[in-house]
Amino acid sequence: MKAVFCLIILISFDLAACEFRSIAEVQIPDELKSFVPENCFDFDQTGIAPSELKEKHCDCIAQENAKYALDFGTSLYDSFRKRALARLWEHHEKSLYALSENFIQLESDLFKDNKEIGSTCRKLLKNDLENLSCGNKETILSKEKIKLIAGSVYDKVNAISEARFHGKDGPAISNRQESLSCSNSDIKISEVDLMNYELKANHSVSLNLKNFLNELPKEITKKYKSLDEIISSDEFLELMMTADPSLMNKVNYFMSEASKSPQLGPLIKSPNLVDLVNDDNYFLNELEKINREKLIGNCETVKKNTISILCSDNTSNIFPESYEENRAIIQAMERGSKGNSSQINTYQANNLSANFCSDQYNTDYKNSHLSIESTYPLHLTQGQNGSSEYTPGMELRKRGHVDALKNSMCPYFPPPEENRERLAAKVAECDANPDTVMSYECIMVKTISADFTAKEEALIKAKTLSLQAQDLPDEEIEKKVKEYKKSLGTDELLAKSEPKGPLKEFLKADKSETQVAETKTNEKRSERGEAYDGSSSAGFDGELSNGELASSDQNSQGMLNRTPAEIVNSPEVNRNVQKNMNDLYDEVRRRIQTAKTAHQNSPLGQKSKSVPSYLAPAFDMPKTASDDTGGAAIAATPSGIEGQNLMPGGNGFLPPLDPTSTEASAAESYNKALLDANEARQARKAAEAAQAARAAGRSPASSGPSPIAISGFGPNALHTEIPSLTINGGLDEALDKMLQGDFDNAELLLDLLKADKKTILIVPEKNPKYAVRVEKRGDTYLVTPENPEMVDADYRVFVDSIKKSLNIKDRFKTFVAKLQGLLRGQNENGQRVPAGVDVLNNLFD
Amino acid sequence: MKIIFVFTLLSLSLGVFAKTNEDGCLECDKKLSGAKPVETSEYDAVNQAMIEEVKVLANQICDTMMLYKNFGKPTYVAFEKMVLKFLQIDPEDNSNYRQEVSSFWNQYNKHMICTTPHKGYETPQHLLKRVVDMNVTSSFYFEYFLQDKDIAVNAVEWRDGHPETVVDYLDTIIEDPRSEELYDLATVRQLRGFLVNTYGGKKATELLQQNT
Repeated sequence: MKAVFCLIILISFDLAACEFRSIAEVQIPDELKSFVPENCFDFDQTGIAPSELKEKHCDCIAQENAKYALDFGTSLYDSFRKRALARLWEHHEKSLYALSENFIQLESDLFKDNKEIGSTCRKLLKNDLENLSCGNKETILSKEKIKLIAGSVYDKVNAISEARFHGKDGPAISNRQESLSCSNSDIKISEVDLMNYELKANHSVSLNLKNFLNELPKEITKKYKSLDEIISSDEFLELMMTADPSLMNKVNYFMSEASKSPQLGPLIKSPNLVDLVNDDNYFLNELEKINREKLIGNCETVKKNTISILCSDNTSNIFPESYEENRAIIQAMERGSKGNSSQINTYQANNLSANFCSDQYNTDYKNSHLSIESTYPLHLTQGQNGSSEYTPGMELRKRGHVDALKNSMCPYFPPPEENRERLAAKVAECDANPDTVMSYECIMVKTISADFTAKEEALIKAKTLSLQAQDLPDEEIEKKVKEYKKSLGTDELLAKSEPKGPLKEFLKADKSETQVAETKTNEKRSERGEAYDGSSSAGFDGELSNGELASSDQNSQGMLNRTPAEIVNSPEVNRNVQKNMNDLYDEVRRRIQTAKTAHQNSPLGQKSKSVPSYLAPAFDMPKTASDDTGGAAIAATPSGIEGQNLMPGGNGFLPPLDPTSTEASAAESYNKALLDANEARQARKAAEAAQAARAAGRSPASSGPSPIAISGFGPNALHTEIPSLTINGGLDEALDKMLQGDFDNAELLLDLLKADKKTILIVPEKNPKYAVRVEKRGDTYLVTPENPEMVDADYRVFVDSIKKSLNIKDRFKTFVAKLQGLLRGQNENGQRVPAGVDVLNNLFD
Repeated sequence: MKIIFVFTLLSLSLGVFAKTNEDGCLECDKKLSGAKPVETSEYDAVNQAMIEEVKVLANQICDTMMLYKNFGKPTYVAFEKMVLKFLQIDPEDNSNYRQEVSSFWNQYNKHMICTTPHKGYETPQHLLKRVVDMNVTSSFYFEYFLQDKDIAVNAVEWRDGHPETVVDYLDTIIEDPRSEELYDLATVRQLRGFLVNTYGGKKATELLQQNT
């Protein structure tokens, strides 16, 4: 009987499991169902399991194939293989595009000299490929074709890199064409410009990560060395369950942004991240290392993939696995079929079905495709077609990181001048809200603003000098300078001179006279609207339209004769940009420190300091020296800029604005937010506190808080975890009273202050509902309203007044030290140390 | 044989009855009036305190699940670990830990609401809906959550003044033509099918009718 019962149970479990299995079953694609010549799905499918359905379909297909007697030796198959290779090459061209990005990223001023990589890549892509022969293989493509296409690789990378470096429309590569224009304006920003800003901004973002890791309890960072391990650990989960939710939200936001960043993504996955962040240059060094490795690795992979695709032989299995790929290939066949489409349709049905029914056709194609994709940057692979990674509403993912970044940053690039004003306003808004310290958008706009400010100043300075050279009156100069300033746009601010790093070395070989001549010919062709085949007639289908290539033979002698590109790329401007960036890093550091101080009230920090400590300026005000542009870069507003006197003979830099008022109000709002957060976190203790109040027979009073004082440290004081200090007078007075000749109470207080996990519940006698909990956390104290659900204006004042009165940050420490001294004094001398008001005066002096 | 049949039928009926109560309960944490007033008040106080804790926990779970998602980790791991920690259950010491998680969920699921704003997500939002929006439906629901056949899936959340269950939410997604770009609609439909056919998932209006 029991056995039968168990059997029933087992069967019901099995049935349940079956339902889950069926979720993962392969569904027959709708696309296949519509294929001619025979519809192998035109039968009653009711009650047929998906696996059985597949079997039936595949049997049907096999019969149809037999009917049409298609075999793989036909010319159709030959055509398919060539088209498949062409399709692979289309993907491969995106690698060439990606390679240009690798080059340009290493041109950043942040990095050291990496020229040798340029020559290594040149050797790999030029010298090693220009005479590719594929040995004795029976290749699908002819030897001539292979040689032509292989020889075009270097030229293409070269042309794309140079065009992109200068922010010009470059050669179209397959289905990848960079869109330089912002959607709602004529401004052109290249992806490379944005990525360079991102690179600079990453330094600021990395400080957030460092700060986050430093805020974690030491036992966690001691035990786990990578972020991955930390996040998976039980300790971290416990922390998430006790930490201030607003801080956790920031951490989450930062992690979400950082994990999407092409630069920071790989960094945060470092297995030794915890140790490495202690090195101040770690992030920069790592970024450089990653970029170097990526460039050299991609150059090698591009060479390898070029050989692999072009040297595919007749035995290669180049049937793509995905339907999209297969469809694209067959569509290309159809385009070239000239009325032979029914045969191709048959082939398509056969081929796609073969794909569906068998897994044995696609290994080579799949491997090639995977290898090609390994060279793509994140934005070429991510979220292009609504991948499963996409999260609703997260447009960043949907459009790809760079596209989204561009859309969010376009409104800040001038002209029109309002965009510049918008940038300044956004920077001011970010400054006004300390919560944005981890906001990627804020860091990016500040980075752009810092860069623009230095460049703008240099351009204005040069303009002023040139006007002065014309002996114009001062008023005229001032007027013209103002006009010039208004006219400055993104083109001037982002203008570039010539590559200096690895790209210079890479391009070197192309700077031979012949090639320069060829480039010029192509430029002329381009001007005439003719298409330029970058491979000199090589390639499967693609045509390249040659982009403009910036000329660089400008006279760089003297400021007066310099072009905007030369000015904004001059060493002195770079130094100023760097200085502004350093100021920005410092500012982030200071802000993090401020936020950290604030959050030390949270369990995450395991430390608490008084909130009023950051009502006062929490960090040094920006310097006001006339050559300090940092403050202006960060806090400048349009009105501030307009109001500055640009001295023609001076340094031309804007003095910083005073951000004190902004900081104070920001701190206040932050303070309030913190209090709110603590209230929320403490909500869980409401019932407990209410019960405690009820048990103590107290009833909430209607009036506001009473003056603060502490008593209750008599012999009957609680020696438990939560001794209650009642309040009925001035704090100092009460302490005085307590300490007058009462060393027992002094010892008790000292024990309380020194011991861990001790809590003082301060309950005003007249208004017990205004109970405040002072919790000892390590060396510091957490002050929170005990009944957060009852917090009103009076309660806030009361909590704040306790924080102010206790001034926990330093005075408790001093208090402990002096109590120790007091008690030590008694023990050592065997006498009573003078107590009373004098002692308290000493304690709090 | 008849005895077995009757017993099995009885077990199944009881199971269904119990589930209906758990799932369909709109005011789960409110007690019937008329009981001993003082005890009820104390019970309410304790229960209210627990609910407050659960609300905090729910938000922490949501945050941690987001973090796990960003790091490519299974979100259900964060869910289970945090509930176990909250309940102070060590899975190595308690082989029934999964049942404990389920009964905790069934009791407090109404309060499992994500309240911290996250870019791109509705806030507040019930955890069951957040999982769908996070596009971790397969791993969370199919690989973990729905493995327990008696799990409650009918928490009612009031959204813009209207009651809404996860089934309602899935219907909204399925009906929205823009959803194709945002969701894996096949999975969303699959989830809806499973919730309704196997787990007693209902629309809020059905639940309200059931309760009146």
